[in-house]
Amino acid sequence: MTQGINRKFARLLGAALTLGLLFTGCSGGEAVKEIDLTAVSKTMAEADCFEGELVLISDKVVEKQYDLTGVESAVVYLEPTGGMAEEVSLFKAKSGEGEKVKAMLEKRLTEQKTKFENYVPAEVFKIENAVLLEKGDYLGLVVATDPAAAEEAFDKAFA
Amino acid sequence: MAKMERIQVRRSGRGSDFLPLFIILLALAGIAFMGATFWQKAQDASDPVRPPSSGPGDSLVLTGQSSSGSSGPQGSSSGSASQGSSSQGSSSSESSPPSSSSQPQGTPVYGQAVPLSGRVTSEYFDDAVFLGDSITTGLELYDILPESNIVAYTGINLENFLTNPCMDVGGSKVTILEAAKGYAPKKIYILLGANGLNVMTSERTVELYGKVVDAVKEQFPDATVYIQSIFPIEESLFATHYTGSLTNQKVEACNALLLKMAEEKGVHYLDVFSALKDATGGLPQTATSDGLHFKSDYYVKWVDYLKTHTVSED
Repeated sequence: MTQGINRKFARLLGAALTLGLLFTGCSGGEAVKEIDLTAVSKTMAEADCFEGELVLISDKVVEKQYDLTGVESAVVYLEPTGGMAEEVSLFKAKSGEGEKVKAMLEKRLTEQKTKFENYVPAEVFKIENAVLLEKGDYLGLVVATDPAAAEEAFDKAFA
Repeated sequence: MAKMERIQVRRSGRGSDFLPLFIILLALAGIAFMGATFWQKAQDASDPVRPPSSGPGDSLVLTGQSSSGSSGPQGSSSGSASQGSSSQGSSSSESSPPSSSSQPQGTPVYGQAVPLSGRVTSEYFDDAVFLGDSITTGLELYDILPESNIVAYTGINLENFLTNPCMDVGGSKVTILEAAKGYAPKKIYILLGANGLNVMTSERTVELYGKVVDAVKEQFPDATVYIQSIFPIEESLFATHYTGSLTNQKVEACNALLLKMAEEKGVHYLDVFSALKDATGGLPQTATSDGLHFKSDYYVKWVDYLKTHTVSED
């Protein structure tokens, strides 16, 4: 009888731990400090890793170009001439929607690759070299030949 | 009693004095009214610059503001319209004095580039849609025109423009033309041809372009359609960034064929090439990083050209 109760307790404990872990994952994982999305993305866009000159994209164009269903706020910088794939985009996901935003960014990279490979193949290297950034609910994307400087600016913002 | 009768007679007599005068005045007024009506109708019939009182042309009358000394309609065959005054966006039918031009307003002229016309404001493009490739996407990325006017896709070309389901509309992938359906535009600006001319002949480019124009006209039969010349390039940068070969000479030759095609199809041709080229006949090196795509100041030049080269009515 005691053994049966112990087994039941162990199962319940296991289930609770699993659920606990699951919810931790869903909530965006690590707790990080709040950052100023506008300021951080600007610093990243001005980092010394872009061939072109990135410009801040208007909210309406961002809404047109990105699926923002899981996004709380977004700031996007693009190289606007149309001949380059360079990009800095930074998003704060809604609580528990981090995976959705990550999937959206991965889809964006796939689409950008399709777009450029038959157009300006030299840009495909930058897309393949892109970095996906993630800190808590903050997610981002840097497309550049060497995105290290922008990535560093992102990391520094959380230090 | 007798006095009363006399009085009544006298009253009656006075009334009969004024009645003929009143009838004559009434008749004169009637004749004057009829004469004025007849004269007005005759004036309407003989005055070619009087705009229609209603109809689809009303929105385009906005562009009809002429500069002083030039009464020709925008885009009319007079070709005499000079750059307009700063009275942007006002209706010529409301604010301009009657024109003394013999050119009928709103008559489209095909077979020549749209001539200089009165400047319009950005609101002129509110009911316009811009179809094109990466160069056109720059209009929204640089925030030159609202994103709601732009239906363009980086890398699209004349070979796949009508078939490539590249636009995301409500979760479905559709072609640029299908995506444009939701816009119900009154004006359509097309810019294509740069992608592909480096690997195609001018003749093939124009043949494919013609099919695009046919499809656009079929889908939007009431819209005013503008095709824009292929823009100048910077040859040396272009050669290092793109395959095939392209020179400004070839672009100009192709543009000449585009102008002919525009005439045949009954659409307007905008010679943006001439507005953007420098003294060397191409795009300056400082304006571009790859020889084809250009920076914001050239977008401003481009849209400025569009604002001063409009037609009033098809």
